[in-house]
Amino acid sequence: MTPFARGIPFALFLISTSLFADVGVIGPWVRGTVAGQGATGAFMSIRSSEDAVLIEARSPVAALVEIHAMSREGSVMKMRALPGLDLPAGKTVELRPGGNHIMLMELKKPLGRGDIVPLTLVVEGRDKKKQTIEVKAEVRPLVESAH
Amino acid sequence: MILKRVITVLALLLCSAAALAAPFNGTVVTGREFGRGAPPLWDHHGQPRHLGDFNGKVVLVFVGFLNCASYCPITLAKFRQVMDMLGDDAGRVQVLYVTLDPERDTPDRLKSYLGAFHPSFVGLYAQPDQTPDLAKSLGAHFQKVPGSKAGSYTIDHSVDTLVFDVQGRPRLVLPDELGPRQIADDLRSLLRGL
Repeated sequence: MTPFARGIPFALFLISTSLFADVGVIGPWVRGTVAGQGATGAFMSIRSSEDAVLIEARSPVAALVEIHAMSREGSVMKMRALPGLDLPAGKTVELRPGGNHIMLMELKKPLGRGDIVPLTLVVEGRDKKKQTIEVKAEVRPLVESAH
Repeated sequence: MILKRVITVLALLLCSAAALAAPFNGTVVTGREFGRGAPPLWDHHGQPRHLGDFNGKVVLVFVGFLNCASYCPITLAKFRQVMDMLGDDAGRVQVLYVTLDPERDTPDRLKSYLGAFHPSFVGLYAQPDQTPDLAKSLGAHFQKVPGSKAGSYTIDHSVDTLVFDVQGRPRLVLPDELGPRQIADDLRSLLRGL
């Protein structure tokens, strides 16, 4: 099955089964793209039972994946790559448009509605032990229908 | 009698005040010199272009780059909605997407990207070393920012849209918060000669 196979019921809620912190990912989605567009964002809510840091994300759909902070200063949009994103114990951390997000760059093909994007999140605990979490994110249209 | 006159004068004053009040949702920038001193430009077919080539149409200029993950595609999708709302007037409106990343955004990539939004949208670029001058002439913020690995970068840029009237004069800046209907209203006003 290809990573782009349609119709896979995507994991709405996913809890790792390791001995490490329980990290839950809720509502992962990726904004759809058009031909020629090089990058897009992945969004979700993440909640860790213990203090942890999201230190890396990977995906087969993109050659380069970064954790980004986005901000607006007046009419200027600014983006910065973050070395990691803190996941304080028991707190839900939101990755959302206009804020922190996972940036998928050097996309290998356009992402259309209904595609499923596999994402691997690497989370590091306070003891520096790493765990990986597999997420399947649903592609939503670039803009929801305005009509 | 005098009272009647006073009321008439007041009414006239109110009417003219309403007419003078900006009929636009965007910010009026009439008199500013945006676009002046722009370096030589090329379109997404690789043809040399000037901003003046589009005189006769109301022109929207938005700067960005194809690796822009949200504001650029969302804004262009909004402009497509604007074109749909304008109906026949859409033929007198030109959307120009100016890339600030001509090294990566080749004409072919610009062409397929813009074609996904609207067949009439035109991509423009300057030579890479003149891109800062182009951004400056358009009053747009432009800053290359290094990414997480060697050679990767992103670009900070303005998300406002500059609007020129049919005579090529800068008239409005549209903040990105404006919705398609508000933008369509402003463009119709400019097409009516306001």
